Amino acid sequence: MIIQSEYLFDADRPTVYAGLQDPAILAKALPGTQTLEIVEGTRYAGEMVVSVGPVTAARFEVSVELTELIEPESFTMLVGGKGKAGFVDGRADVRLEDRGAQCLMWYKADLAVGGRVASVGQRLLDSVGKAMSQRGLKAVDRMLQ
Amino acid sequence: MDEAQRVNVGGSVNGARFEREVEPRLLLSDFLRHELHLTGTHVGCEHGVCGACTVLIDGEAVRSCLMLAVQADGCEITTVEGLAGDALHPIQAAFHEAHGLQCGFCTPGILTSLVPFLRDHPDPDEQEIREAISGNLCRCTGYQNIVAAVELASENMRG
Amino acid sequence: MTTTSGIGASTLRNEDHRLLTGSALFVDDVHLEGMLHVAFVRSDYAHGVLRDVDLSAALALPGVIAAYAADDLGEYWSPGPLLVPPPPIERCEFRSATQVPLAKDKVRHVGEAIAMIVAESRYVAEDGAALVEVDIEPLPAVATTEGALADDAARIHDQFDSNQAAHVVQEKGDYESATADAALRVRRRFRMDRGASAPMENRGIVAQWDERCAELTIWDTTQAPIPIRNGLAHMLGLPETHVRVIAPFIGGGFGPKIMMFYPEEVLLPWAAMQLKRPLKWIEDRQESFFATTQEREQIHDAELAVDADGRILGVRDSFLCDTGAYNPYGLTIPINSQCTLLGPYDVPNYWSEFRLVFTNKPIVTPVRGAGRQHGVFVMERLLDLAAAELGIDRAEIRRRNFLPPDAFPHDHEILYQDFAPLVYDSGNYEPALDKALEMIDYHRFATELQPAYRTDGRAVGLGIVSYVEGTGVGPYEGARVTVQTDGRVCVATGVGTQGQGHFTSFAQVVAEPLGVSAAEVDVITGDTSHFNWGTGTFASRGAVVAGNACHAAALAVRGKILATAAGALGADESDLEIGGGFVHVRDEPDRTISLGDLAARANPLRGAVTPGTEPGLEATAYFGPERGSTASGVHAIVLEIDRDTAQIDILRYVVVHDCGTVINPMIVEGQIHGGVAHGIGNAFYEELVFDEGAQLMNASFMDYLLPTAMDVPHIETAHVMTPSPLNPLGVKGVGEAGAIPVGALFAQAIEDALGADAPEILEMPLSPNRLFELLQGDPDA
Repeated sequence: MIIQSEYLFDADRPTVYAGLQDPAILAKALPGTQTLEIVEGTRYAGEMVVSVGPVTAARFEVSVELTELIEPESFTMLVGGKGKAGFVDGRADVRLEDRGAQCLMWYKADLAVGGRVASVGQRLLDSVGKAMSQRGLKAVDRMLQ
Repeated sequence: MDEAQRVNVGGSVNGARFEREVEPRLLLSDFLRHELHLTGTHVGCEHGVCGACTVLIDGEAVRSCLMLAVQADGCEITTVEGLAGDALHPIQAAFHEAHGLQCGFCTPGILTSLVPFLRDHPDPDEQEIREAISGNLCRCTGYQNIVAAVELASENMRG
Repeated sequence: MTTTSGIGASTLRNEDHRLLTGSALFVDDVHLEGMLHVAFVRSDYAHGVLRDVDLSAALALPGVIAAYAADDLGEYWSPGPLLVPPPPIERCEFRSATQVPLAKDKVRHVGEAIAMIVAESRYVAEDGAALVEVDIEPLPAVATTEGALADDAARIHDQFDSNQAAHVVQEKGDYESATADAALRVRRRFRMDRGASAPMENRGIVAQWDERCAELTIWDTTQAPIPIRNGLAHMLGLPETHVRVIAPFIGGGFGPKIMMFYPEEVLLPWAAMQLKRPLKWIEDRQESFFATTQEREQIHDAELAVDADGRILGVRDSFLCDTGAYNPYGLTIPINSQCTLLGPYDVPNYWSEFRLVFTNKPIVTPVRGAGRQHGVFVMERLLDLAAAELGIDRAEIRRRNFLPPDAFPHDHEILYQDFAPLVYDSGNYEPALDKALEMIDYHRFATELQPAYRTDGRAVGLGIVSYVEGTGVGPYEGARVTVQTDGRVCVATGVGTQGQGHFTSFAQVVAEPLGVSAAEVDVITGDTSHFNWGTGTFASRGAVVAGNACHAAALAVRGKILATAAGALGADESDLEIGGGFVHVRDEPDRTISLGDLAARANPLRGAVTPGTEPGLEATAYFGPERGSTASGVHAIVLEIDRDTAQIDILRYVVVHDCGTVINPMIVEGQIHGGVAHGIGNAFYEELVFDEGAQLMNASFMDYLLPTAMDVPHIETAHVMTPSPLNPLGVKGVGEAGAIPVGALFAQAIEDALGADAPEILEMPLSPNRLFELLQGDPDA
């Protein structure tokens, strides 16, 4: 599954870049995150609860790692989630563009999804994925104000 | 986690009263089949598409796999076992005559779905019949003889 | 003799009452004291190294009684048997890898069983399954048929050097030299996919071990109770006489319920013996999309060579066939495709090659049609393309190529799935075509109706296709017929019944020679304690093989009735008549005795029994045809397409079929209706959608679409009859026939509807989405 879009933050690029490495803020970027803590450096682990169509309140153990960090322009986020309802594995490439007092984020997530959430929730994965990422980034935006 | 809480559910099925204590998450289909041992109602998909689990709740057709047993508290349930008296219900008899069943697994759900349908539409045409059973999947018959059975049943029931 | 319920009568069914009143026993209806319930932990990954399975949290859950992974099975763990070895084809490379009871070291398809949880209820068993920690290191998945043979494809079975399971070539004549001067060669690539059998009843097993009697009883939704009994007895180290397998009422089979030694079938009896408690496992619908076998894709590169009159000079075909992660069913499906492609036509030269490949998807075994669909699609499409290029009418090109009625038996010189040469036993194809043309109003459609539709701006098209189907294959079946002392007749046979009416058709076959009505005959099927020699219900063979065994046994009992009655009535056998449940002397109605009384006399408590005779009025007979009998048919359709939405409306559907002698016309028509509905599903609605990770994307009826009453038209049927010379009753099979040609029929009709700007339809299924894409001019292969 590919989720690709853009978001315009009401904060400048350095703020956005730094903010996304803070686990409290990163957690907001992924709606449904219950906990997210630093394991080491830019590696995080936690728990998410997600609903996709008929698969409701599915708990996932997640691990997130930010790599290929080029401050303040870009990074790649490696994501792994596993739970009773299936798994998610993949990466999101993120680019940030300076827009003066604002910052434009371009992102492309390429995720392999498996298990029940894929076989029963498939029709909704794209739209749920898109909605979740947009909602998450709005929440991050609010936090950065 | 503690022992699951149990909830009282009481009602009547095919005219006989029942009263049990069940887990809240128990599906009505499983309650009927495995608690009350009324195994005529069948489970085909557990997600409300195939219609095999259809029963009547207070006279209306309901998919019992989409209902919890506790939601049937105080209700009058009719299952396929409650359709025949000393003789087969006219709908059952018509299915026999018109060869409206093959493996018979989807049949109870179709029979119960038809009871309120024919009550409300005593003289349906083919299109209306096909629409009425469009929520019941059958893999054996291709529906043709089911339609014929409903036509026959409605004719016989009109007298 | 009674004829109102004998052979040829549309006798109403004996089994209906129990089914209609909800009192028929299906496997999930079995309720045993102390029964526990099973749920499985299944792989979320299509391909991976299974590093660890941690059952501790599951075992700690209150209500969970036991949990097993592969290592807990000890010596009992072993891959299943190869059910169908390859036929003795000369050019055949074959290797097999069969399914395992619980994954060990590797998982090879989504849904493969990894652990088994036993608990007090299914609900708690599933709670327990959710607590099992499975550590899988994902490997790249082989997600497409073509991808399986790519140089860099991940290897699914490490003991093999590639993902090729088989490579087979069969040929007849010499395609190259015979077609060197062909007036026309038509060559295309065809892609056909099929789907899940989706019976309304999922699979299920109940296993009960009686420690004191050392007896194992298994209720199983199987189409083959006897082989299951034999295999499980062997695996568990029990005498066959102490294992009973019961296939009670089964809610539809359609093929995958004859796959044998599924993990669950192998595990539940073993665990029941370990735990000394009865166990039940019932598959749920979502599980069935992974845990029950299915049929899938074939890709054919095929070429037809014809002369200027459209007569076939030869066919050359090279195809790929997907077998899924394991291949327990051998080559049955691709060989059926290979053989059925020849159709009712005279094909003097044929070269056919296939490669069977492993993929990381659920196992492929026959589903109603069993690979015949693919062969029919290729041949019928090639003929349509040739007809269009040569300007020959599509019905006419078929007529010109039919084998004539005096061509039988006709040897195609290649081997069929039953290991015997593909020899058509009988057939007469032109009358069926003529009948279908007449019923569908072919000429009027072309000259009047279609032009009028076109003037109205409506895209309405007609399709007509023909096919043959090899049915009624051996090895054999048996039956035991007994007249009881109350006058009722009992028939026991080994095949199971999944809705095709055996309780009635077998009763009819027995009723006729015994002079009773079918309603007085009780049929027992699918219970190894009642009859334990035979194979099962598959390949459209029940009526042919078991039916003939029933008939033979009934004839033997008839002989005993006459012999016993001659003694009882003091008359000559030749003066006796049987009818209405009595035997009487011709022209002397007072000298009579009932069948029940005769049965009592034949089993005396006093007196002497003549040496060399047997007690009672009972006989067992077996029937094994030397090869399969050839059914055939023609389907015709008129359909309309909405050019904007690509939705299809079927206006007419006609089936003319030949299944030899018809035992019960009502039942045969019902089988055709159901087959056509299944065919419509495969042509237009059903598709198993896998992604590039071999994840199934539509494992529910919300997204895997079965045809509803709104999607299946009224089907008009007519019969042609060429009795099979291979069995005394002259019957041929009909269970799969309806489903076989539908894809080819849809393709032709859709092209006809769209007229000059029709895209070429070379693939199946054609969901509305896909048809829409093709209409927009997006081939997107």
